[in-house]
Amino acid sequence: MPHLSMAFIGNNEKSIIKKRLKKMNLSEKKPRELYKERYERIMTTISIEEPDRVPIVPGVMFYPTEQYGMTKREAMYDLAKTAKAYSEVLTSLNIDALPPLLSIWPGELMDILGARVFKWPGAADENYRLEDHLPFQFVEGEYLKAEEYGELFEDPTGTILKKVIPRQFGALQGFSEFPEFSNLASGLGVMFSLPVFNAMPGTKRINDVLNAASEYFMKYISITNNYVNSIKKLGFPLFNSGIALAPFDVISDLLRGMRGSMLDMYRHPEELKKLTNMFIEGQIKAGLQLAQMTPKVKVIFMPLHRGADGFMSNEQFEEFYWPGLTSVMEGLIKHNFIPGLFLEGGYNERLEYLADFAKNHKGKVLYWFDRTDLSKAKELFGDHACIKGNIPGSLLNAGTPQQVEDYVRESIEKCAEGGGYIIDGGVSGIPDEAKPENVKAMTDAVFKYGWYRK
Amino acid sequence: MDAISLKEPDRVPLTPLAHFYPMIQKGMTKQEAMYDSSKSAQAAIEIYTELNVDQVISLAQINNGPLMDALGLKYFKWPGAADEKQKLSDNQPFQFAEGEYMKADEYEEFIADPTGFSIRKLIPRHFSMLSFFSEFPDVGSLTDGFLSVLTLPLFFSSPAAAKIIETIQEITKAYKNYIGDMIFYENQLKKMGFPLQFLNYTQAPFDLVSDFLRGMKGSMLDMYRKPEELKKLLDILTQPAINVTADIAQLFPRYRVVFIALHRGADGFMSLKQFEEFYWPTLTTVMDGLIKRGLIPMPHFQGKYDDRFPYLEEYAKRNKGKLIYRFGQSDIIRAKEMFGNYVCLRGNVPSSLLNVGTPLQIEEYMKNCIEKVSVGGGYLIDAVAGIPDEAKPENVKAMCDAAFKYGVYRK
Repeated sequence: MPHLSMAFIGNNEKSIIKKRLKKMNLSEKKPRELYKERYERIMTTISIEEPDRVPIVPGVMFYPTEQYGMTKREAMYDLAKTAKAYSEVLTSLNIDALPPLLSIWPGELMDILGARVFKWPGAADENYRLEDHLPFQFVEGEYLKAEEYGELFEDPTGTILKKVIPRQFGALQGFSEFPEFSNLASGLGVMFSLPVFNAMPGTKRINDVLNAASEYFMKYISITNNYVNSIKKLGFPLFNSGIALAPFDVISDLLRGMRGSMLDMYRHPEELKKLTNMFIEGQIKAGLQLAQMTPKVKVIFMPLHRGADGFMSNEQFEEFYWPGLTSVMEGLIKHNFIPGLFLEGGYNERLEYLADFAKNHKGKVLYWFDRTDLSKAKELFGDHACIKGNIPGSLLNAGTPQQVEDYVRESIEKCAEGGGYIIDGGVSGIPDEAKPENVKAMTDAVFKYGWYRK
Repeated sequence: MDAISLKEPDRVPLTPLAHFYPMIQKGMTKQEAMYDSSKSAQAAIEIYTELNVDQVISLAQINNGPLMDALGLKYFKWPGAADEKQKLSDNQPFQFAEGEYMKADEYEEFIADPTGFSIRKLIPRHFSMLSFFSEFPDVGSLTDGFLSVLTLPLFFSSPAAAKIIETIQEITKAYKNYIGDMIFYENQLKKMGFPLQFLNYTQAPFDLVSDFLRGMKGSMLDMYRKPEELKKLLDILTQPAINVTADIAQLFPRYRVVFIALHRGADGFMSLKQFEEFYWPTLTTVMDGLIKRGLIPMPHFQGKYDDRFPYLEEYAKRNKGKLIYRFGQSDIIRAKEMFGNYVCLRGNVPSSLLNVGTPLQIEEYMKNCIEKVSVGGGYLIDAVAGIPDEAKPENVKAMCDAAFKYGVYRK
């Protein structure tokens, strides 16, 4: 398989690209103009108006690094190179915006923190290590036990610090010795409990870990900033920045586990709801924290996990999942950002809810679908919410360029009218192992069929 | 220990508290005493061994200036404080600076997240050097699920976090110096045959609220305006207070006495009804918890508690021989009559007598006191507020000598 990056090396290839660009009538435009065009094309379609063309903004995880000849381990440990791979591979596709590096978790940072919540290629801790070519995986676990709900509600910060964080991050186990609040509240108690806590061996380790983590984090931020600047120079905006989660998913992914959270809907419904409410503000803040580093980038990525059809009934969705999620979405909208939900799996049974939210927030929300019926979505709320998706991963991996072209054409026919449609893949956008010729066929098809006006 | 368990030892034990008395005797200022813990330790060793007391008071009583400076402590004023606003002249003793560190409308916030509220709101208000704790991440940010991989380091790399870590290192350094001198002090005395009285202390939950959260005025008003919130807060502070004290006790198994200086429970601060409703229940829960763990609570009934004697009596009867009542200005002879068979009493030579009386007056007072209170054991000699800083040495000597003269049960 030829690496696309090679295209940048030979003069011959360079002239081919130039010719291709000329053919697309883009060559005379400066990157700054192209950037503006692309940015406005996206913002126009999100606000449910017709731009000049249907934008194409594929999500990716390891596709660019695979194309660049990197293992997944290398991708997670050499983020500067990953940024280069993203930039080179994706800008050569002539798409309308690039994803952030956020989909590739920094291996070094997870090593420093002793993350227990993932397994990943190259992890320093053997128990959490996968082979170099495997993608990272969640480690489901009951990081908060069912009988600890009471404790958590009585002293949320204390319980999170002393119980949950040490379970989620091996290197932060020292937090289990954090002083009791009666000592923190009484001035006298602080006088000895802070130094005593600080002098404990576990705390020494925390200090080292925090230093190393913040040092690495600075490096990480500079890599991501360089990435954003370098693609901007080439004329490409960043599509989204920041991540927020549905509060239910925060609980299900990394507090109670999938099994725990599902059982809790029956056994501890009130506690579960109360806990869900506790994470609304935090998720708004988490989303904004990262997003505000690039304030012009409006979309905040919200990957949903347990809300899909099949995980829970509509009744449960309405009771446990949807209220917390919409509160976070509303919080982000209030701060002038656009929640970009990634609705992984099928959401065919939830379309009414999505429609309802869209109608109250016209042009302020984006739904990226995976296995949901797009024509039905378009029909129900296409006038209010921007739809993104859903060229199937299977097609990009194993189909032919012609099949991909046909699928894109049909999708455009179904969804493009009136604006509010962006072309993307289904699960995670372009699959890691997609055929480059299929990816190219997807992009080309947009330029062939996606014009509203020229 | 015999006196505590209400048996007659060979002699009535002499166990006075004190603050700056030994340092002043050695010509130190209070500022020096608070800032030179090693010199203070020397002074105390010399004076206490000379007085031949049965148990020596820990140096923690005089507090430590460098540690308080490192913290930027706001709830005390003391001689030589680095911060001008907290500074007193070299010969003044430290003073408590009352304040509404928690506002009346913050009950709900405290109760909803005690550790969080303490870290983010109270600590910055109590300690100017720890003001950066206000930026400690909230519950949501501490638990972002897998996002924590990024959001935790995001906080850790903030200037606030760097400042927090740096300040805690400074505090720890000051604390280590201080503790080093305390350990030296304890070891020296041990070699010379003098045990320490206690190392561990706790507070009545009401006093914690009154001293460190709502202030005296606030806590008094809350009994009328926010009784339910106040009681709820008292409740949630109770169990952790027991746990913390028990943890420390495990570090120092030799010291079983837990000092509990009581502030707002005294006659005059609140009615009996209020005492029964707000003060006494959580205090006794704390004492129950300590007793259950084999510790010996020593409430210090500062001021007058004569109106409260029936409560004290009832509690002593339920916990015979398991605690010490240390009295201030209460009538210790009446106390002996009412519940002296159930609890060891400690007290209460008046400060005024030690400061301006004569040795003869002291001797007479002591003679009377020992005669009436020491019968059957259960009495420890101490002064009302400990040996006053400015006590006349001849009076202190008279007090100590009287213990040997009149306090002998058997030879």
